[in-house]
Amino acid sequence: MINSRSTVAALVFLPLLFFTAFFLVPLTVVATASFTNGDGVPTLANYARILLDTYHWSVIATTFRLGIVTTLICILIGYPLAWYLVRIVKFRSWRRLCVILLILPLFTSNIVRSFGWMVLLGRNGLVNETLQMAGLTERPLRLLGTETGILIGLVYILLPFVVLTIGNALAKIDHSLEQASADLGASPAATFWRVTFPLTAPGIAAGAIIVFALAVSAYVTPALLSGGRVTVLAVLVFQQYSSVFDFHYGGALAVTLLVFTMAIIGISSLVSRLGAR
Amino acid sequence: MALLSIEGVSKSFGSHQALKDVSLNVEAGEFVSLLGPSGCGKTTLLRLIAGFLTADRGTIRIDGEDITNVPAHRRPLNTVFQNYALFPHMSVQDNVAYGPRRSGAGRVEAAERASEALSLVGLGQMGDRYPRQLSGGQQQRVALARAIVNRPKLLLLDEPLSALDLQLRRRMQVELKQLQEKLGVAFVFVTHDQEEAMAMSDRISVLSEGRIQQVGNGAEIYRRPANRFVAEFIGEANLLSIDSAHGFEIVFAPADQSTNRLGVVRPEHVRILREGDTAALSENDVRITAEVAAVASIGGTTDIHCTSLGYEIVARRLGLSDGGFKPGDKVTLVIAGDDIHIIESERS
Ligand SMILES: Nc1ncnc2c1ncn2[C@@H]1O[C@H](COP(=O)(O)OP(=O)(O)OP(=O)(O)O)[C@@H](O)[C@H]1O
Ligand SMILES: [Mg+2]
Repeated sequence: MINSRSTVAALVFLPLLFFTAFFLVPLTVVATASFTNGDGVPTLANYARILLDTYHWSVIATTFRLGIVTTLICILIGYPLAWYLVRIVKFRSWRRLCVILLILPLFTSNIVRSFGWMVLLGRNGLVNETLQMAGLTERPLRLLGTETGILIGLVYILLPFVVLTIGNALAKIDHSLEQASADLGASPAATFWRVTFPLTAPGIAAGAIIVFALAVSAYVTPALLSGGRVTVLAVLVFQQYSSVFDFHYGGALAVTLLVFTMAIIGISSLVSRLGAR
Repeated sequence: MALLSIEGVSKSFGSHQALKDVSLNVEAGEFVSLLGPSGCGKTTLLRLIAGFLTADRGTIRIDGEDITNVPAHRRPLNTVFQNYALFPHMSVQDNVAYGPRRSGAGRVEAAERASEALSLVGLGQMGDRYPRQLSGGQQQRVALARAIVNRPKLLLLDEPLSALDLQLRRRMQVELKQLQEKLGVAFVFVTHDQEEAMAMSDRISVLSEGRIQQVGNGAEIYRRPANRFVAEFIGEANLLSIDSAHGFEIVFAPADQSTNRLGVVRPEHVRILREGDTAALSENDVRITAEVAAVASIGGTTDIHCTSLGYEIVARRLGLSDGGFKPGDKVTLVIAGDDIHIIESERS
């Protein structure tokens, strides 16, 4: 009896402990710092410094513009890819190989991959050479140090997450639902938009949240691919913590990033729920 | 002209031939069951008719029009799926209105027709619910309403009642049959329950190993099975090799000397008499001396298992009384000559 009760207690307590130790405590430390000044006196000055300044607003805008566009592009590319993997590939070994190719980059360091893109996106990099050879541009495009360059890097790094969540949703759809739709007279396009797509919506949402959260908080990729010309919130935060050592202002930046991210995710899920009615 | 006509249809999955040269006609308003053991190809045949699979060979026509290569969404028929396949993200009302909407009805008209179909299956009040909020029997009715809302001339049903408990199943059998007659729609009804097939169908098509073994109404299939498979699959049968038959003078061969003619005798057609009891025998009766091996009462009938000529022959008596027969008793089994159905066996 005592044994089983202590087991239950442990089962409830351990995750709670883990959650507290690794999530709540650091968050509280950061949040507390953001509401105090160097002398430990409570103040809103750190937030005033951010929110009353147009430079900060432009950084916030860049950050979330990158996040939203990355998410949209990932879904637009990821859906067909997931479709290909789940619906079109017939041979199991080929599908397995594709999935491995897809997730293999996740096992290598972000830094290595971003450096790779620095080489590819450079003035004489592979991307520009290909574009010129194909006659699509006269002069090499400036990709490195632009939002486009960061976008390409983020999409490349985050694409696997949407492919996996959407692919999982697609694989779970009962085939007889699509047959029932056809049986009732729906064309293949109507079946896709009215049955398949709505049933994969939770997978799209899950993938979108992961990609968006990782994109707005990404540091390495924007830092390396921006060449210092484009600034996002995570870069500012990193500077404050690592070189300026202003944990109060840095903490406020981090909390701002968190609040904006949650607000955008909350608003978009509200909109999609209303739209589904 | 038949409503549905299937001619020489074959279908293979890899090296496995699931259907072999199947031909079948279904008339308008007819109730035809596809009956057979698991894996015999019933679902495959249904999916070929619905258009979810394409035949390797043969033609399928509806109202004389060749639809063999017409995609599923353009075929003039509807299906009730075994697992119901209700759209989980739509309300019951929207599930049923889906068909009319896709065939061009406006929102209002589709909603009206959906409500009408729902009240036809007794679910008029459930339109706002979602499929997951319904019981199995209710989901079954929604699937039915969704399939009949477009008023098809042909409805395909793949074991639609198999997930229901026995009582509900019996009730749905009656309701389904009534609905079928009321709407005048032809049913192709897959089942592996022979009682269900017997109770509901105009004709039964017995399948085994991808071939149609026999098509006929319940009585024909029971009284005059076309071959050994049908005789054994439908009801219970005593199968005895026949040595010679001249009119009703039939002589059975011992079990170890099988011949190429087989007599099929239903247990209820075997009368059992004590040895030497010659009462009420007629000229056409075939007599066999036997010994009682076991007596078993099941529900309203009593089966007396006897051995003779190396066969086990079952005689069935109505009622619980075993007539005083005990294992070891010497008895005479009497079978009226016209109760013996003779099959010219393809394998000897
Ligand atoms: N998609 C498929 N791929 C390979 N083999 C299949 C496929 N569909 C069916 N088969 C095979 O074809 C045969 C007939 O299958 P089918 O589903 O028609 O049987 P059934 O009569 O409906 O059986 P049950 O009563 O169990 O539903 C089976 O041996 C089955 O394994
Ligand atoms: Mg089946």
